[in-house]
Amino acid sequence: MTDREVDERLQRALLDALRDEWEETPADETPLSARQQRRMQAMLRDPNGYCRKKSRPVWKRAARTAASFFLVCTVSLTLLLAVSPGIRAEVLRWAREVRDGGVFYRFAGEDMEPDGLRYTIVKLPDGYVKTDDRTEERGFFRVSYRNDLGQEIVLSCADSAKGVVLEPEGRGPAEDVAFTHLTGRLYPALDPSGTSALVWEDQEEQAWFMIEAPVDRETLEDMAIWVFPELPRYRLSELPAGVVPWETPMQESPSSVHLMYVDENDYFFSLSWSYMRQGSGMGVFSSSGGELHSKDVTVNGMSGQYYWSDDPGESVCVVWVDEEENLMFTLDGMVSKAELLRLAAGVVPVD
Amino acid sequence: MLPIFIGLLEDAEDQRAFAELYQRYYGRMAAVAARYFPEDPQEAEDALHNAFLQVIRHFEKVSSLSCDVLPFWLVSIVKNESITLLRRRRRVVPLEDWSAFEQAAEDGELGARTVAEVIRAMPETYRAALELRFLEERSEREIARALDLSVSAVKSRISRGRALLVKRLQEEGITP
Repeated sequence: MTDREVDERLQRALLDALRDEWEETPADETPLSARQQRRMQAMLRDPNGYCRKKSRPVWKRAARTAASFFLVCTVSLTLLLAVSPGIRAEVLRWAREVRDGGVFYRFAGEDMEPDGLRYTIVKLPDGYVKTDDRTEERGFFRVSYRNDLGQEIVLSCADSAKGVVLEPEGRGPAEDVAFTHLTGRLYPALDPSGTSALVWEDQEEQAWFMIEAPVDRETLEDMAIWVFPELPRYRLSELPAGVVPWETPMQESPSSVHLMYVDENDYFFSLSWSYMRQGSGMGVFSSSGGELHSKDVTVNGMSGQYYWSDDPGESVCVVWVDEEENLMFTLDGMVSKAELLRLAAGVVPVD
Repeated sequence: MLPIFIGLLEDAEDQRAFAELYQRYYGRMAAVAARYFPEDPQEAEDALHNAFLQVIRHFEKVSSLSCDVLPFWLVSIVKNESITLLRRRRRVVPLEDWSAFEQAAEDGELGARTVAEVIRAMPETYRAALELRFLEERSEREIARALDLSVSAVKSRISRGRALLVKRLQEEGITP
């Protein structure tokens, strides 16, 4: 027997030991603390982004792995969408499917890209605030941020198809750099107090980007990871007494924004909205594993669904779609149905 | 309730797969973590959370596992994240007496009849090192970092653990 075969036997024995342990472990659901709910929500909302925040290297893209065990374990969503009569698809642009204890929405309409090219750095070094943004010409956009010391960060974006070239001037010799799934060119500052520049192309966005900032390479790369299309901002017009937004709205992925509200004790409710592109979607799950129930509702004239589970200790949720803006909203919290729908009706754009 | 936006098609399967994995295995994984921190549910949640981060980091591997094996692989992750956390937060790390364990295994004093039972009776960092090496295929350096041990301590744990198990497999007639 070769060493490799012995190791395979060992592997099997280790798995047998784990199997025994698994079978002895009770399947009872452990209740989640509010803190853990928050963390898991952030992680599940965007595993890629969450992991990127926590560490690098990051989430490995395995979407195209043919041997995905989920293809073995479950019927694929695509297949279900194609053949199952149980799938609601009364509106061609949207499909809603109930399965595996969750509800999945899938957008199948055409992309409705906002006019013009607008991006933002959603995570800036401490002390920087946005001071100016302007579209220089069609296919070229620039936004700047400044801190109390007068130091400036400038993000420039150019539509790849328009042939605009982003090339910084007055910098040291460029070097090739790689960060997450992107590659780019770093142009170091000529002196320690000068600004360095990072230029890269994001083929998914079909755009070139350049960040010029008086920071080190790592900070430049960190900012580059968090360059996302700028999404509209919303807020709740009326809040229950003692409830306040927790930090500022957080754009954790290129297409969705999340805003959490807290009271003096802890988590209260959270509002998210996401710009829908072809192939994107949304899932609603019960965090306690309870059975999900839903009821059609209307929020400010827009159709949606209200969700609750068998577990009375679990938050409730309402999902609705703004077809004109091509945005899907979710609001969930530890409140009554009436209160949740009242809060949802008070979601307004920020001027 | 967990409303989760799924990104563009390229990532949608991954994100959905991860959400389903969470949905399906969260309860048992939480119970495993709770065993290590019976008095401190917050620590158990930290270990569980770190385990899910590991799942994301190694998703390519996770997604290649069959349904028969996946749950046990997840137990291994959450168990080893719990051990890591315990070792980092304990003021006094208990000594693990390998020689005594080896002797007891040889003398049949463990009451363990199968190789799997011997594995379960092993000192925790020995078993963890073996799982990280042979199941998660981590390097010795990575294991050292995860278990807060030196690389040489990891090498010795893998080598001793492997030798004992191979001997036991031979006794059972599983390996020649």
